[in-house]
Amino acid sequence: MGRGRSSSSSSIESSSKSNPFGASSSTRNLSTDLRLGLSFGTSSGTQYFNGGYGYSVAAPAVEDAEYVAAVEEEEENECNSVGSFYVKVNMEGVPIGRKIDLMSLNGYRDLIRTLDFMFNASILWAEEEDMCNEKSHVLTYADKEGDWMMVGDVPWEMFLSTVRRLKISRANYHY
Amino acid sequence: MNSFEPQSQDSLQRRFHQDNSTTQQPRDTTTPFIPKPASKNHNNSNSSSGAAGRSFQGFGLNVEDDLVSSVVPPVTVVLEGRSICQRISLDKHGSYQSLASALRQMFVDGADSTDDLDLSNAIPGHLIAYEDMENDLLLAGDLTWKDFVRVAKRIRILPVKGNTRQVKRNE
Repeated sequence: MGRGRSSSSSSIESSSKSNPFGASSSTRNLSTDLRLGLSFGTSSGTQYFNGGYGYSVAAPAVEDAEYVAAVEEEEENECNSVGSFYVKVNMEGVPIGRKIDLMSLNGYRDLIRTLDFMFNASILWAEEEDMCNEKSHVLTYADKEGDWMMVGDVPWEMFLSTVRRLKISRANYHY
Repeated sequence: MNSFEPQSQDSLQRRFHQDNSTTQQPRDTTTPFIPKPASKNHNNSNSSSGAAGRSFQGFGLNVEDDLVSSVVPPVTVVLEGRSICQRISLDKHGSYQSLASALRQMFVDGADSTDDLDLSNAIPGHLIAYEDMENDLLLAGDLTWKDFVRVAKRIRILPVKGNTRQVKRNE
């Protein structure tokens, strides 16, 4: 841990020292930017993980991974704090995905209606499984463990706590 | 609550500046643990957030500019079919409409200003999409502008093919 701290301090000092020369040379300017970026990453990591000091002694690759995780965690926190929960939606055969705010929806029917409009599709979900078979697509979601599940099998609130991503697949089977 | 988010970001950047200027080890050891609860407090309390934002004004403007430029780097703009890319700084725009105007000036020759300009008609016959940190391709416009600036890493301008679905998505 001591080494980690000294390393961090050294990095900060290096950034401070190089600042006065930043304006004189574009090369040094680039160097300054790189150092600042690294320092920011380290700082961000230590802010979010108590074990950050332990990892800071390890290889830089671990720090990079930690930084990426910190950024993602920050993103999640920010989305939750402002009362929105955006997830990605992809439709089979369409290369460009969409993002939808599940917190702004009232339930499954609202979700299906919104996606029908977004993708100009007729989407099937669990409650309609026994009804007419003319719909060509089925809505599925990836949960925390990465398993793809059919939308509508669990209560809406439980769905919100597990969904990570949505996918509109072609319905291969016939009723 | 959206109005407090930029202050929170500014606060984080300035706090980082403080860390940068401090070289004594005792302060360095304590600093990493303080910002997180302080940030939460700022988010919860309106007056506290405002006060924090104001109290940090005037600190090393040059260094702060460097920080801002490194925190929000310009993003690459790729027009499908062209090999030469362009760059754009999203933090210099305040809305999707402003971005649409900039893209139109970049890619449409003899472009004049249009009052009803938005992402769907910025570049005729093209869709404005972006790649996020997970390298997923998404249509621009679904997120709030602030969230978009935070997550967009590359902008792709793709031609609209004869697919009616793609056209309708912009309605």
